[in-house]
Amino acid sequence: MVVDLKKIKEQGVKAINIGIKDFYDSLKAQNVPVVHVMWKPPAGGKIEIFKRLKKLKFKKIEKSL
Amino acid sequence: MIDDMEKANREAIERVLNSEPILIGVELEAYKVIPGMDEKTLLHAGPPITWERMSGPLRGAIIGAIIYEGWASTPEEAEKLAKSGEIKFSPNHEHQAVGPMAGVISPHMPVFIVKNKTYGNIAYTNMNEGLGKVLRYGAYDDEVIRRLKWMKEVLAPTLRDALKASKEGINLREIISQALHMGDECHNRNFAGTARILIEFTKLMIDAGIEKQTMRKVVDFIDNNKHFFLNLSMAASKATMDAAHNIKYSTLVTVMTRNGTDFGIRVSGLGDKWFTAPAPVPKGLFFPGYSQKDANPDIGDSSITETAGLGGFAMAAAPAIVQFVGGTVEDAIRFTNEMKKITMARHKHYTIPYMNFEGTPVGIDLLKVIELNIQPVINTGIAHKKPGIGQIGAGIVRAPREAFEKAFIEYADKYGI
Amino acid sequence: MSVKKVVVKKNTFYDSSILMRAASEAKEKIEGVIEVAALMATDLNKKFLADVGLLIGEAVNATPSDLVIVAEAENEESANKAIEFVEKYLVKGVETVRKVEEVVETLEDALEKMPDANIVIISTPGEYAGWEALKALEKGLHVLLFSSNVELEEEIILKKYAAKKGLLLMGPDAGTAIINGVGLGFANVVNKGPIGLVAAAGTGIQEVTSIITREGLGTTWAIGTGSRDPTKDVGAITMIEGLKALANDDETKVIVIVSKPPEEEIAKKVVDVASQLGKPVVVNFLGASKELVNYIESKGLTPALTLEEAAYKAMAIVKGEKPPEKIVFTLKKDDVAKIVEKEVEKLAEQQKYVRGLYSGGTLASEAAYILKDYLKPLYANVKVKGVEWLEDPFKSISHSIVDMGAEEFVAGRLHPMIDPTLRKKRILEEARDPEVAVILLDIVLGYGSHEDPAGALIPEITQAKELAEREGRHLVFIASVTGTDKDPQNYSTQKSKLEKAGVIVMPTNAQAARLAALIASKDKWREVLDKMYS
Repeated sequence: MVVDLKKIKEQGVKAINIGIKDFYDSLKAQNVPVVHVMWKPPAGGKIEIFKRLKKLKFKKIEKSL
Repeated sequence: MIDDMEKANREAIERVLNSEPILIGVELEAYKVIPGMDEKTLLHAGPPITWERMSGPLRGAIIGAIIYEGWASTPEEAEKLAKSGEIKFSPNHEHQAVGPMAGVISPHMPVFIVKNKTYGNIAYTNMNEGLGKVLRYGAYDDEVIRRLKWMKEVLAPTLRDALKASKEGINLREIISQALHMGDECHNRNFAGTARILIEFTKLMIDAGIEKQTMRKVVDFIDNNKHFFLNLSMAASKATMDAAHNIKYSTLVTVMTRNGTDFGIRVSGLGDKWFTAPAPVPKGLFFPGYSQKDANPDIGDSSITETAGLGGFAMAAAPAIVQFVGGTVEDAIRFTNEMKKITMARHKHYTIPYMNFEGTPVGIDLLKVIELNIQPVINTGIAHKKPGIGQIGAGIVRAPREAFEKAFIEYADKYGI
Repeated sequence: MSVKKVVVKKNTFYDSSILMRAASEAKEKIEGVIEVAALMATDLNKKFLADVGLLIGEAVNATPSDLVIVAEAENEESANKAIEFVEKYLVKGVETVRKVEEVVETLEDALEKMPDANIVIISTPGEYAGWEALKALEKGLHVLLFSSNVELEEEIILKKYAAKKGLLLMGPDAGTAIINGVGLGFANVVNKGPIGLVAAAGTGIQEVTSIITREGLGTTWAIGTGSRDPTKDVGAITMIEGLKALANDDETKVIVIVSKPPEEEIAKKVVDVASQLGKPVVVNFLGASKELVNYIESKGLTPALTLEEAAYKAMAIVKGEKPPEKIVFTLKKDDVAKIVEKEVEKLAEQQKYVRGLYSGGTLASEAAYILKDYLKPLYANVKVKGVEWLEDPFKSISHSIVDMGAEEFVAGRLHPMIDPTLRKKRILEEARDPEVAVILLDIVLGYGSHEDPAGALIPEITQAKELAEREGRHLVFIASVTGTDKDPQNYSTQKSKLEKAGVIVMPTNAQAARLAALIASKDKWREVLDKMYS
């Protein structure tokens, strides 16, 4: 499906920022509606558990392609 | 395989939402109806456990049940028998049953029979003894045993006969829905549920022509125990969650329970395997004279209510008990909102007036618990760690993450990730 | 000497948690307050008061059903205010007073706060970034994936999934995008206009869109693809989806593609798609082979060799003019000659090398690509055909172009576009080298960049010039500023700051590089200038 840029134009940019806070600040400065996520690593920071969780999700999506 | 996960979860949660638990009867001899239970089996709350690892309240309840059954006449004899290995201990949950706190069900105790009208499966539960010194908190003195006998001889047959007078039994889903609108969350607060079930029983007792004196005693007994409905709320939850168990690939958590030593869960797609972690000690408010240091690690099958979208998950329905969660209604709402993040759906029958009749969060998704690191919240009574003292407070506890991690790893292994 | 005040309210019950909160807020908010307590007068609570010396006045005889409010302050007014605060707080109730700021810790939380969000910018560590991106796509959101170090396997799945769902997946490693006129990541404030970009190069987007805005035209969209997109593994999925999207966009009249040259197979694939869009397309594969340039032309597209050329060619097409054959300088040739003559005269005998210190990776590549035809041997830590590899990017040799945003420089510190520390140090190091004639710089403006990138370098530039002067040398500084007058740093202000410090500011990075080549050619500069124009 081709990306519908017109739809974005109609909605205007409404952003969520995950990670570096500066990007949130610069969107604020441009008067763009934006929510900043106080991100922390998923799965309580347990990397081995997280990796399997990630694999599961990616496998699922890959299957659907 | 993995595309099946979402399908499986859709089916599982559908079954949870469509379940309609009905109280259909009473059986005076538990072993006659409970599958896999013989005359030498004692059922208990929580995941499997040996006598050696049992905490005080559970040991006390086992001793009391042995005396009740007449297998021993003194606590010392009872303890000896319990240690001997002659008696089989088995978790309620492995027999379609649930019981609060120690949750002990012995072969000749009476049980309620709850049927899931939609799917036909049955759940069993014992009858609530009331507050104070009671078996479920590990008390086993004469008063306790006498009360249990009375329940067997008077209460249970009366309620059995009353239920026989009804065509379809008592619809527990309806009562729970109403109780939520009347300030219960159906785990730590059961005022409304108890009042409602008492009205239903009273009507049926009249229809059944129960003798006036007996009826009066039964009505008083139920009326004096504001937790009488708890066991039925639990059995309704059990009948509901069992209908969604054993669906291949589903990550729905169908059981959360504690035996005073371990906390355990079961997951729909992982069959009958238990995933356990040490039971946490609840934090809460204590009755005068007791404090945190007296508290036993968490105990009871009653967290089946949270598993089915009640209790801590419906905290915002019960403003009267918000002291347990921080003192304000807002705190209660926050708990309910937090639980939304780890559940699969909003309940279509169980709703919260205070939140514009939003459904309670229901159907814990193992994957969401793992990803978001949010532990399910459980409302709970607090037992004294010594047997026989009883309830010393109430509060909340968080289901330990470790049990969910173990289940997740099993899931990943089983389904080849 | 402090003042103590007490109020007892008979038979008035409040829950302890509310009382505690009221007292703590009073203590926090009212100046001059030393201690505030509000509690039911149980024996235990009275003991607490006695312990802090506040069991005074009426409180002594209060009963457990009485509420006691006590305040100790530096003066009477503060003490009264504190008591008044608690009284008001209790009447208003908790709900209205306490506003709990909801914690937004996940994408789901954010969506609850902004259910109609349509794009997510992700800059978490790479191992988590793919996961967050996947969740965003699942929820139907476009994604700018700023993070690098996302696994290749994940990138491919993400891009295919995004393409299937009709969503933009820009990145990983995409620093810049312009979406409906809004700059995401590192981006300049540009005009809206008829030119759309798809680019695998962050500062490439910034340079092209800035030139277009400074020339009075504008940009519709700039879709960053991430550096790994135009490879055989990924197959330029984002680039191709971006092109299709721009083809469908009515406001985009001309499309510009910017990238380092992809592998041939992919380059041709992109060109083939581009030739089917029904819109004029300018293709800048920086450093493309002659063969590839021919292929682009054979498909009816317009090749451009540099970023500035891409910008000018696209603008000419928009205006209905014939695109310029090539751009050498936008200044008059004579004026360039005057500048060069003046500078060359001042150079000392041993001065001969150009040292480019770059914050923008694509700009560094462009400079190396231009200089390689005139200066030899030329070293760089960016891969450009015909340029030697600079083994140790911390030490220049001969003519060198250094991308200071390369991994070795940013490990454990911020990108040089944000933090100028390393570049400042490096300017002085280069100045001490007696063989250096020209220091070439890029100044990148826009959101995300340093608030005053020119100003930050000027002390070192001045110092460097003085240092050379003292040793009888003349150090030439040449810079270009990537940005616009709408940028928070302001293009004109930045430019004049540099000029005041004696820096020659050229209109584009490409022209800055060419001027550097001319000056470093010293007495041969006229020949070189003619060669440029030939």
